[in-house]
Amino acid sequence: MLEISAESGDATLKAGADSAEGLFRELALGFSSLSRGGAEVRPLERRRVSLSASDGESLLVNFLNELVFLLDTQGFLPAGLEGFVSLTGNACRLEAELPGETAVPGLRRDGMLVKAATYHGLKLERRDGLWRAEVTLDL
Amino acid sequence: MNGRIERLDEFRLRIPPSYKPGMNGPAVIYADAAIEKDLEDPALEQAANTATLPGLVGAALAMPDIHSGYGFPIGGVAAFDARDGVISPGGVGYDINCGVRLIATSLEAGTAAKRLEDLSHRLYAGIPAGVGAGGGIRVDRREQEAPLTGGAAWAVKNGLGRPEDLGAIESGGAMPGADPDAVSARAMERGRGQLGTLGSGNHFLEVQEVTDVYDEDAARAFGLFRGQLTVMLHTGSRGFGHQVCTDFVEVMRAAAARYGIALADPQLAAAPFRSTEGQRYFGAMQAAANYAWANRQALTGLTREIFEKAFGMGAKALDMRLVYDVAHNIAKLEEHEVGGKKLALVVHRKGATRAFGPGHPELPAEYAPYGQPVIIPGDMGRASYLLAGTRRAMAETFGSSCHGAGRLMSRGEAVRRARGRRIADELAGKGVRVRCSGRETLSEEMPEAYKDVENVVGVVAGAGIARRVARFRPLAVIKG
Repeated sequence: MLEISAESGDATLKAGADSAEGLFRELALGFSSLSRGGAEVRPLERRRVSLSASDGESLLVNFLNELVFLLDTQGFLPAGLEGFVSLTGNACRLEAELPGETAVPGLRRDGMLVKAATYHGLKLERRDGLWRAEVTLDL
Repeated sequence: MNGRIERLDEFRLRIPPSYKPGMNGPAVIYADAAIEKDLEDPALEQAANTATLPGLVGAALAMPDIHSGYGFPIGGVAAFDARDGVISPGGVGYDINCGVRLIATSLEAGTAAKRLEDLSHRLYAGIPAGVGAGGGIRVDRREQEAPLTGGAAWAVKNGLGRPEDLGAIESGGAMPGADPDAVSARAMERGRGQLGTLGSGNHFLEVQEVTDVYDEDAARAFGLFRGQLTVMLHTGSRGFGHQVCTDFVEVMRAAAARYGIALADPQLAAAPFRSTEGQRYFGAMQAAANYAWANRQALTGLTREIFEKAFGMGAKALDMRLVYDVAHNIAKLEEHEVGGKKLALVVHRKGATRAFGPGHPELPAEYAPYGQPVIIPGDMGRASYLLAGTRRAMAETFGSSCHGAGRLMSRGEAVRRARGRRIADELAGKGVRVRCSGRETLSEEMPEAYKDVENVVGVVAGAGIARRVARFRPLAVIKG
């Protein structure tokens, strides 16, 4: 489940999945969808991401900010996520590989530039066996 | 929020400290009845939240262009006692020292009209703009710290400006406490290659005409006359500033818990100004502020070169003098008189402009009798303003005023409403040439997406926290 809406100067990603990995994969795809402006992102290369945080919210924001950094410095957008995400306890962790692509055609003309992931209105919860998140991205 | 907000007078509203637990003072919003109709409840809530931070002096303020931000509202001003108050990255914003500068020319818009089409092509081709724009100045890794400490002076030293430009920039174009050691390697990486780029979204370069002069003496002192061709430039610290803010929101979240600061909103994360975390953020923020000044100065250098080629005139004849440059996302250590006492305050302006009154020692001597130039961009179809700071602003708003028209519509709504319309043609019909690289940018940034700047300026002028000097209309707009 993934919903994307662009608001006044920012965008909101709402995602849901039956696992933490699935949730982060949906968020990564949402980030790419917003940034690529309709162009296809192909799994042509990979980036390794390793993150830890004291809580799930922080891990989620840090993960999306990692994507902002990869896009801004390398033009890299993810086409998926393979790996391990732990959102429980006070030592949350992500060890993953991101298949994806650099220099996606049309990015400059059609894409929205995500500049930061924020804690504004951030929601992260597990309910009825489903992980759900809502996060605001500064454009 | 209805029923909890009081009208103080024609131009000011007040949220009392009793509105929510933990408020250390009221929130005061500059708004007349017309502006009040469009006020968003979340933005008012954010103004009240700001008042809960420790060390607040006076009231948490919001200008008439207030809209919802992250933590602090955009259009917010809050001052905290430097001895026991806080500093907050959320009170500055992600685009640290996003700001505006106004450049005069010797040209009259009427006589320059036949060259405007060519000029707008040249500006679009020569000014790097847009999503992830490359094409900026590549700074050697060993030299990368130089703009962080030197600010605009770094660009001038590298041939992108004149020494006299520096006197016409807030803080002389460099804050002295920049600490490159407090800046992360990631911020350095994001900043590499983005100096001398405009960016995307609401950033722009606009060629304008002075259409109205309200204060002849002030306009003369600022070097402006009716019918004059001018340039307005709006950009900030690009990915560098965003990364500094991102890094320190994390630092401040942990610090707030450590120092027992209760946060009404996680984006208000803050630390005591005198703490290690507070001082490191202040040092990194100043480095980002200086990066932004270097960026606007570099773009000024490029703009002057393009004008010289487009008009076939030399620098002396074109006389592209920097009128002023203001920051509108920044925290500064300033001295203000409060209750008859001089206090050192950490003044946060987020989507707000410094507006120092006449005689302030930080103003250039030739501007001092009139107050600080306050540049207020409107939208790309209507108008922009040059105002001047007042003594009343010094007394009421820590020398602050509004920063622009403020958005009225979300990007999504603007795009939906623009569907089927040819915004570029509509603007061309009004004599405005627009060039932008993003497919949706024109729709997102169409004039109706913003409040009418006339109303916003009417409130700050009516409240006496700035006064009108001149009005400008857009002729050519370059956007990312």
